[in-house]
Amino acid sequence: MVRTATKHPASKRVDAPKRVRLLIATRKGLWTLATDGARRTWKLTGPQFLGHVVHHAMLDPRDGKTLLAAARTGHLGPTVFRSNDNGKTWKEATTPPAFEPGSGRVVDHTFWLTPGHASQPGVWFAGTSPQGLFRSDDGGANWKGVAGFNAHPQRKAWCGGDQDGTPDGPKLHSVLIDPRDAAHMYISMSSGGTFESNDGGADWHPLNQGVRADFQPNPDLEFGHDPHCVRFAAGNPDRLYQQNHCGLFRLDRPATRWTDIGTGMPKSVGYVGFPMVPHPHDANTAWIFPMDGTDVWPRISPGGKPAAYRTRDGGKTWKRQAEGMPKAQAWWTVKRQAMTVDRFAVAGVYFGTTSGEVWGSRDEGRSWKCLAAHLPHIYAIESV
Amino acid sequence: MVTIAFAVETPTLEDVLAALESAHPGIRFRIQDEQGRLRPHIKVFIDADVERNLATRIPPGADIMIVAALSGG
Repeated sequence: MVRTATKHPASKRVDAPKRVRLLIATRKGLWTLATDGARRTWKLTGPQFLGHVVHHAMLDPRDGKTLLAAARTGHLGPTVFRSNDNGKTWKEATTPPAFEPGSGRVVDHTFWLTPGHASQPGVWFAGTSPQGLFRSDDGGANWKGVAGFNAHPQRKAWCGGDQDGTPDGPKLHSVLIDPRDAAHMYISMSSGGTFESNDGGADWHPLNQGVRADFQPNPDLEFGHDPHCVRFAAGNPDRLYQQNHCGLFRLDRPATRWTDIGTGMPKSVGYVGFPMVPHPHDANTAWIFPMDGTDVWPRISPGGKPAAYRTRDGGKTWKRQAEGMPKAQAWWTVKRQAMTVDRFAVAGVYFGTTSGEVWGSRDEGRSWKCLAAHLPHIYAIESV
Repeated sequence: MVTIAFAVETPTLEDVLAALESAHPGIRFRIQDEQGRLRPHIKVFIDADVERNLATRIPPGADIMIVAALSGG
């Protein structure tokens, strides 16, 4: 299926946002960092949901005031909280994401939240651990499983057992809605791979050609891969960037074979990491945050020397960006939802660490400052 | 303390949880998962005895305690 490309936003003048707000989802609650258009001073507020594990918090860009937060409250099960006033007050979902009774499957936590298409106000999608896809048609109050995925006859083959996957449980993430076509969607799973739907989620097919799966006996599988994060390029939903367990990849539709874009990374750093963050206006620019994927997979900054890497040419080359970050003995990393950009023409880039620090750059990664410290383990940061 | 009236003299624990949900919508999903199993670390006591079988009948006059045994770091 060929879809008409949208005009590249970089060709338009970009209006500077009046403020930036970072929603910081952590293992112990939700915090907010806010600044004005100068992006020099930041104010930290919170916590909200203190003691809840908050995996993701997201603003609805269609109304600019609805926030959803995916929370897991200790032993009291998973839920979703909703705010209709930009986070001042919250209400719990009436029917949180849950698998069908009789399916034998249990949602451990909601991991990923994606607002629906601009033409479908009130529609949201959620990805869960273990892998499940859920939809709300009423702004997050009531959720139903997307049967086209959850009950797909191939789902178990695609995902493996619920005990397989990442240390925190297998996850469905990177729910992407084509801005040109509400029925055209992508999802990714750790583990499982990347899948596409052309009919609003009624059916799905794998989209993993060219992606490595070094942990499988057959390296050229149709599915069973481990994408960590998949994102649309800025202004070009025909281009997808992927940070995978086994490398960095780019897909330019309508092609179905991913291109390896990790060969330009230094061998001493490698191409393993969690986040993948495209520039807000330039389809050739993206950031990653490599971690140590050697030996027993320590999942920390390689050598204790954290750095972001940026490409400006679609992944052919990558440049190290670490000015202002610790030069040694910094053993944190950045989770797959914990890096983001703002909407400025000269983009601000932000990330949260497993040790509870928030770092930011107002010059596209050339220099970095620590904006907040001493927070809990950070799972997700969204710039809104 | 919650008071709930039942049509039968010895309702099951399942009946009690259903009645609790009617009185306080949403509470049951905090206690049981979507497959009807008690969530890990949720303990139900009938008088002083722990009970995980939802078909167990509750004797007249018994006290039921539902406790979230919080743990973790």
